[in-house]
Amino acid sequence: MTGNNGDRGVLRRLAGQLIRERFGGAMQKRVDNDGRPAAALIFGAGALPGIGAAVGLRAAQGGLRVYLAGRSLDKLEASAQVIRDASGQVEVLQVDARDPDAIEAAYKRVDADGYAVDLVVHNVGTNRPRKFLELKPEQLERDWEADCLSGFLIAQGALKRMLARGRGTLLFTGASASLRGKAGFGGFAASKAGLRMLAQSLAREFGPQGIHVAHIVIDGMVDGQRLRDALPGLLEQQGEASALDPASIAETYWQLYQQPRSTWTHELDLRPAPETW
Amino acid sequence: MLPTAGNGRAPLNSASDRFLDKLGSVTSNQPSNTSGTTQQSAVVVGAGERKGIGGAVAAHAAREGMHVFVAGRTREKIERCAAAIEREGGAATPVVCDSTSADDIAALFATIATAGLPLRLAVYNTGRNVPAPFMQSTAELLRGHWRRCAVGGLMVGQAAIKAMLADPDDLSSHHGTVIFTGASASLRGRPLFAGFSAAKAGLRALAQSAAREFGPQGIHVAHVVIDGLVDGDVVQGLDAGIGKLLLRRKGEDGALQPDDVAKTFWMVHQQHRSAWTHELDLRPYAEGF
Repeated sequence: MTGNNGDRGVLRRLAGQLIRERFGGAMQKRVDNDGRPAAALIFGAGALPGIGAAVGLRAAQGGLRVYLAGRSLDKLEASAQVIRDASGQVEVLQVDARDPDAIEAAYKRVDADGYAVDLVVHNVGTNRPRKFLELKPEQLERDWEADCLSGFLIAQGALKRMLARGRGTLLFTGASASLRGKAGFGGFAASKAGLRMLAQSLAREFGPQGIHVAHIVIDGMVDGQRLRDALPGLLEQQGEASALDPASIAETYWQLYQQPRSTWTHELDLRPAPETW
Repeated sequence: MLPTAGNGRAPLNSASDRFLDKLGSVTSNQPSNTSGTTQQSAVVVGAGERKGIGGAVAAHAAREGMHVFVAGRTREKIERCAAAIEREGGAATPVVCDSTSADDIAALFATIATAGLPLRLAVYNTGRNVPAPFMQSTAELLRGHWRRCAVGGLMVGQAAIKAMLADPDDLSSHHGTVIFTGASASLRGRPLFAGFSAAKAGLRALAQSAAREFGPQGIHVAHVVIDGLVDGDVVQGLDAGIGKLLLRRKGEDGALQPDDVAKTFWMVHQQHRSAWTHELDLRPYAEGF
């Protein structure tokens, strides 16, 4: 009997090896070691078109079950409907990314549904100018909680689960402010730079354990409903491709998720062709 | 596929419409030359064997339907590389070219022009990181690195951008991609690599400057920082089995696979011009950095 069990173990290992050789990275990405199907959890998902929801749509098209997490259920639900219409599997979760309990609840929901969280995207942030001399310490701290602390909380929840399986991808949305502080954006730049350092540190610590951590520097206006509402006519005036297209951004996030572990990117930038930088 | 979104269509009303419309075009994953009738060409300068970064990038572009010009110093290597690409079903022309020679580069781009296929991808992949202690490094050694990395990059970049702008893509406003292969030495100088780092940092600055100058004209310039051991012919062929030993010590997936590197180069070339990457790094998962 024991010999039989031993044989079965050997067979399972061999079968696993064969599948890995036959199907390569893509197969490994989608099928979890313990047989659970893979899910993507997007924090700061928001409305379509927008980066978070666009990445969700791309992940759903790639075959992942997608959880859209954000503060506004209305926006999430509208995005989810588009994903459903594209035959994607999607759920929405109301989460304030500054709230550790809400974040943990989101992960628990994915666990309870029987899915393994394989892709986590942090797309939370507050890009607004704040006059330095008028900025109150409490405001700076609240912004930092949204921009940076949220990344820490989300990463802890993700890593706990991913480390148990030795695989998973964690993507952080950065900005040009992650690299330099522009006049009027001191608070935002400080938080974003903090988030970048967090991502870099996680990449170094957990890469060898099979977790892919990457930071994407978005440098430019993003063509979304928010921009069109805030500054109507601006994009038409500036011409085609003057703003980053969320679908194109999402495609690069997806490509990062697809990279085999012999060849991982930790950081890349994305900007429109005409952008000055 | 070179992006064709946004050309010759009626303007769309809402951001949502535009989004959904564009989504189809960026995720359709079609080979590059199915959208038009003309076959496109690509050139890799600093190619060697098929199993190196240059060879793998050329093979990937050929697989996507481009005619590739495989340019390098060693005739036997690039001929073997081109033959391997042909065996994989691609079209490849080997061209002997020393990237420090202005004449060779001019001849290479003349050959490309004669073929008559629009050049849409150029990759500059030269430079060898030979260690040299600082006090023993000569001005000649420094000049050698400088010419191979920076001056060659400038000349190839100029020729490629000129060819791309002279023959603009009618279907898209993305006229071509120029990718420079960098190294961790592009970002910081480590002991024994002063000359190499200085030259690589110079190439990176050239790439950044060209990206800023030609992005608005529809030329995508990118710099890829390769940080790790490459599991290619160079390392595998190191004397006395040292390369094989190095690779074994790195463990499974501990060294960069040229074909996987090539996938990312291709991803950069595929990016829609509304979201271009200028710089990214590539390293194996277990690499310390």
